[in-house]
Amino acid sequence: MKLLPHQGAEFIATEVGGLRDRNGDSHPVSGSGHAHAALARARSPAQTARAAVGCLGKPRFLGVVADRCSVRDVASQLPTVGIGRCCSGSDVADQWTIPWRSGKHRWGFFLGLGIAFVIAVPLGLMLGISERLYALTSTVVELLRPLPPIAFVPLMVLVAGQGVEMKATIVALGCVWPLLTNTIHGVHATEAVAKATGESFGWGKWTVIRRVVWPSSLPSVITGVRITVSIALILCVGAEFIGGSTRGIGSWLLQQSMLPGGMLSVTAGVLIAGALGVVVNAIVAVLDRRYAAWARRGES
Amino acid sequence: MTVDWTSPKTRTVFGWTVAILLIAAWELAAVVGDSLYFPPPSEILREAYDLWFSAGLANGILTDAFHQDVVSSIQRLLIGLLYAITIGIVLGVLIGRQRVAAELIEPLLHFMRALPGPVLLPMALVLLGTGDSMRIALIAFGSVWPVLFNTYSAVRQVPESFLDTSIVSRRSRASTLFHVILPASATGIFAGVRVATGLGIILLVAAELVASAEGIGFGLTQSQRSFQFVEMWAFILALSILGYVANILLSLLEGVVLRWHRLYKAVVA
Repeated sequence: MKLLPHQGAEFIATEVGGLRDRNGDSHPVSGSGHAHAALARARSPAQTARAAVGCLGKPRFLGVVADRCSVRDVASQLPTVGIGRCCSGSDVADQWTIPWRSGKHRWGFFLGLGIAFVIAVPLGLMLGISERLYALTSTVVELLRPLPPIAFVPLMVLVAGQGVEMKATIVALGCVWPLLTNTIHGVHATEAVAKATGESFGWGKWTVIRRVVWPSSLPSVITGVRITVSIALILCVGAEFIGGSTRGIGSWLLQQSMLPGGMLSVTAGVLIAGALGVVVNAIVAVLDRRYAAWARRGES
Repeated sequence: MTVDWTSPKTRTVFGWTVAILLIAAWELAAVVGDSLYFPPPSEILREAYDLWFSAGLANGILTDAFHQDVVSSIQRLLIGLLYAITIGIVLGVLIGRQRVAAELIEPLLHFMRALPGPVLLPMALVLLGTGDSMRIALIAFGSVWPVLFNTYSAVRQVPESFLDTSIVSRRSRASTLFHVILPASATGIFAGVRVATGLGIILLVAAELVASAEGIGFGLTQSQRSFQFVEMWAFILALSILGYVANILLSLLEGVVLRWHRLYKAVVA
């Protein structure tokens, strides 16, 4: 893989010196030497995994495939087309802003999360409070919960197109269940004594729910949100890949990976996607500290 | 008549009644509405049967298409997850036991955990090509982080008193690892494996999308692009069953491995 002209000079200066000459071509000898080193390191996990496969009653097909695509293949390919060769720090920085500007990625994400929240939390409160409703619906929930939401991407592309609506639906579909089960769990974990105390104050049903049940299930709801945001991000990007969206960080990455020298932008995009995840997680962590920390104070 | 809504028995009876009623309602709505995108469940089941189970008793019931579509996907998923779980647990324990390493690596770990797995697909394409090893590597690399992170934090949260007891009773380091640290962190590890499995299925579908000629993900997108809606639903069904079965298997495994934990909780509480 040749480097693009504008990348060349700085690249050689900043990146692993010994691996390539001035033209940016790697020396095969040193390249393979690198591969051997990686190989030596990779050998043990590969063997561990193979041993683990053997423990499962030696199903032969598993062993064959494990041989065919062992860590060894992967490791021997890494240095030859290595990440280090395709991007230096500052070049990646030049690409920072592009994927950020390129997308409605965020709207699918937030909209889906919002829909999931609006559906799941009131529903979870209802199912948590009413034993009857819970008995009637728990089987359906248990049946629907493990379904991989990604399976519905092709269907949603047909029904809702490739845009934000599709992404939001998929995100909502995947996020409803963890939120719902966590809300129900939170309501069920409400202390009976606290509820009885509220009732003995002469509070009505709604007051008890608002002032006792809801605050005490809030930590569990926030745990649900914490699980949900990472799922939402994954689903959003996954839906863009599979649905063939034209906008958003996922589709942008897929396009870039097919261009010559696109590795740079791909690396930048991956870094940005990761940073986005970190930011979102940080926001939820703040929420968690604000509204849910009290629940854990007693434990430790 | 009063019904005890909290007993597991009524819950099963009424729950399944509602589930079956809902499926019947779907069937009815699909037949009446005659929508192109939402075929009735009976038709989906027949299509799934024709696709995968119609080879006849003599040929072992399963068709070639079953091996092509389903078995290859399951193989990739299992192998990828096996790598992810093995590497995740081993590294997680190592990092969790080394305070200095943990402090150094934790920010990176947070970043990798927050990184949505599918964005790695283009990178994997460029680095590893379009073969099966790419798909397995993507599944393994993408789903290793929940296992690693959960193992790491579970190992760090093992109470010091457990470890002190183990030192006092002169256990070897290996024995401490296998009889104290790993069992004590098993709940956390299982939570990670659960997340990893869900993630693995997403990555599987994403990875089978490009430059693949077999697998559930491939069949799913292929049938959508050729407007074979019933076939597409059959693939959705297959993927759903895959997710469902994976969930059941994990629950069973968890029940066996964590039996002591439930007993312990029952005693403590």
